[in-house]
Amino acid sequence: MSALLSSEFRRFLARDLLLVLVTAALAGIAMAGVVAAAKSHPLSAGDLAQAEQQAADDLRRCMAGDMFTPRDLPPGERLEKFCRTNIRPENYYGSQPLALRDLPNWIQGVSFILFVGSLVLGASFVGAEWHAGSMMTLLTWEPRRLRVLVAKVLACTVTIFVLAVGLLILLSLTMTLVAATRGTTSGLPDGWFGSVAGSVLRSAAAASLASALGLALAMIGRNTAAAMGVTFGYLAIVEGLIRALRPGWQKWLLGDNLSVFIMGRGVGFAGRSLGGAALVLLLYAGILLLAAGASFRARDVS
Amino acid sequence: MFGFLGPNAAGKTTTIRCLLGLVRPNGGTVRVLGTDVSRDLGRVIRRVGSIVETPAFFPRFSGRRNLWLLARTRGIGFERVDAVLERVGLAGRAGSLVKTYSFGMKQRLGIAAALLGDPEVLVLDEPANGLDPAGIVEVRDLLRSFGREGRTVFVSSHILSEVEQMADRVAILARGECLTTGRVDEVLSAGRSRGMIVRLDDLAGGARALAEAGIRATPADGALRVELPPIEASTVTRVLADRGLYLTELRPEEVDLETVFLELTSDEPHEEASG
Repeated sequence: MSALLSSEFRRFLARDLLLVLVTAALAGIAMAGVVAAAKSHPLSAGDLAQAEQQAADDLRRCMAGDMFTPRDLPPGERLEKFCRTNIRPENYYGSQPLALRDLPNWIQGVSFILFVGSLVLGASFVGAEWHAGSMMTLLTWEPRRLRVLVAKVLACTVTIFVLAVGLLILLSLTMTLVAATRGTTSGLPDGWFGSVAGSVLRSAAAASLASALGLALAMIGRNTAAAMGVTFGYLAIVEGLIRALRPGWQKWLLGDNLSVFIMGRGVGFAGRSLGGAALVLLLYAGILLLAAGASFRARDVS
Repeated sequence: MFGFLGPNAAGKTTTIRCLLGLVRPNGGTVRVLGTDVSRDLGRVIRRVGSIVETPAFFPRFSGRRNLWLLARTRGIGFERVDAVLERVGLAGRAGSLVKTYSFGMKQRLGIAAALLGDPEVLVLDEPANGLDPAGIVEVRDLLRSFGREGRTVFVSSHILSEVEQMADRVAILARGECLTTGRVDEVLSAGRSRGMIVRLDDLAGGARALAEAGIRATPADGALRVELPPIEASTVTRVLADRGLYLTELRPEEVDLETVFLELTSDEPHEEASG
């Protein structure tokens, strides 16, 4: 099994599409850094002092109840906490410099692109083999099909997880550099580093899961395009219709659980906890992989 | 060497797919090296090398890289990849992308892949398919050399003359059924000889004498082809001797594998085919 696994890792790493997507991701990170640096303007000491003064003034007014009525507050929220959360010096900066505290949001934004790229990579990993006929050649070498599937899933998901972590760390370092030189690194909330690390790991896990979903669908359909068509058709049409017609089912939708998982919110808009969303995603991936295994094992290869 | 013959759609490739576990038979049992394929092919597959139809490789990888990926699947060393590429005459183009290979080179790469694991049994589906005459001769020589090394070579083909020259045993398949199997000479001898070849000094006189006796004879390569079964040889010698014509040679017309193949796989009854 280890020889087969090693071979599958090499097969996956040797794919042209992987090289193209990783190159595109590196170029994207570089471009994002350049654009962010060009658009961000560091604040002078005077700007900072002015913003802090304005924030302090407004905070006093807010605490005195001059800015919000109790009806404006979320249920159960106390006025003091609400004011301190929402009135911050950075809201009063004249020009918005790149703020390092927003890094978790950028990572979460990028993770949807990673998800799509990983889905394509996973689907094309086996779809291309079916298309080229090399799956048949491989099966004449290793006829135990479940071993082949497990090796392919591991090679694909582990590689994508590691690559995604690497790319997101590179993105974080790039943005940290830009924030340090052209923006601001002040105002980092407590637990900021944990939030960044969590976002990186969850985004990489979501990418890894996407590759497993794509691979499973391509194994069932024996075709990359079919897998992509089914996935995007489902996400765009089926889930859209369910949201419109059966809002109560929303908490079971792939897209909503994925959003909760990537955003890392304790209670998301789908009414799911982070752990609950992770379990639902794992359950769906598991079901699809079992279906792919059953199909691969049962159907003839011709 | 075992030749597996049959017309298109006879079931040759399907049988080979069953042998390799790619297709599950509706009924019956397939055994390879004594092992039931449906239960334990994984145990014996390392002793089998194969090509099914046109060997498929990654077109944007080099030949060497394609073989290397396969070799890694079983932990086979890199040196073996170069050895088999050398063996099939691809060493000089091993680093080129497979998409630049000719059809014959791809077939040879397929044979190299089949040889990677140093198998006891080679199962080759139409290995000479699409090759030019020189390529066919190359593949024939390669397959013969595998046989000389003591490997069992199971080769399906529709190029009957090639199989006749290479194989020790053959099976002829049609419409999913095995019509005959055995040593090549046994299968050939089972074919019904349609006539005799008679050689004598006066061919024209001989032909006339036989015609007068109601026996049809036509000139063929400095001899006469007499349309009587070999069992009637005494009739021919008597008719000619009565006219003072003496034979220098009389032998049954040779039956080749193609003749037997066509007789067996024809839809017509055998009596009509031989008549």
